[in-house]
Amino acid sequence: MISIQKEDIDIGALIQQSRDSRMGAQVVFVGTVRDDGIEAIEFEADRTIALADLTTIAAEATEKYGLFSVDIIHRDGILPTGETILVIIAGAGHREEGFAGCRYIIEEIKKYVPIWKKDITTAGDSRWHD
Amino acid sequence: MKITIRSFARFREIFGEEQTIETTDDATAKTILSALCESKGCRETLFAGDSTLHPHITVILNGRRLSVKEAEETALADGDALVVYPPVSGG
Repeated sequence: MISIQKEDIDIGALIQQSRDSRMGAQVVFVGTVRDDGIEAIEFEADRTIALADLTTIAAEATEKYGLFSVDIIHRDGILPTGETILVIIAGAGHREEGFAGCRYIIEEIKKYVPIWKKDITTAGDSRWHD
Repeated sequence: MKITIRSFARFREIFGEEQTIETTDDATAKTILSALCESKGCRETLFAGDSTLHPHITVILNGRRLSVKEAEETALADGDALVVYPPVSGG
């Protein structure tokens, strides 16, 4: 599943749905809102382009690392500290491909997928990340 | 001809979410962005010096990313949709 959504992510259900008998490893990355003295992060995405980019990245990771499944779910909207931002599940025959594929996906997302974040402080101020 | 421009995140707060610009038939993406900067008075946001687009911004024409060279040279057509992005920070 490739998705950008406001709703929270049921990670356990996602792991079950993406599992199949060829897999010896499912590597799961969960990005969360860290408490850096902020109250929340607001995420904004160009959903059309971002979804196309995530689909491309998933296909590249599948090809490059021989993955059996790739799930990427990124949330947008205002997420308080502790909330889940992003879940990536790379399903592979072995852990090496799973870890490498999952790492590839998060690094590519960071490079160019059009999603932005703005810190919202406890004082109510806000600032976009560069 | 008319070209629509959309912006996101920090750029949305500067340029507005969406607007339509009336321009001449020989306009390029760079022409449109230059006009946008003149009306908003924030040329340094998109351009280094007088005329070079910053390499860290992204320009999208009808769903396709343009290189800086393409943004300077590609002729636009009536009804084209441009999007301009600041650097990304998601994940």
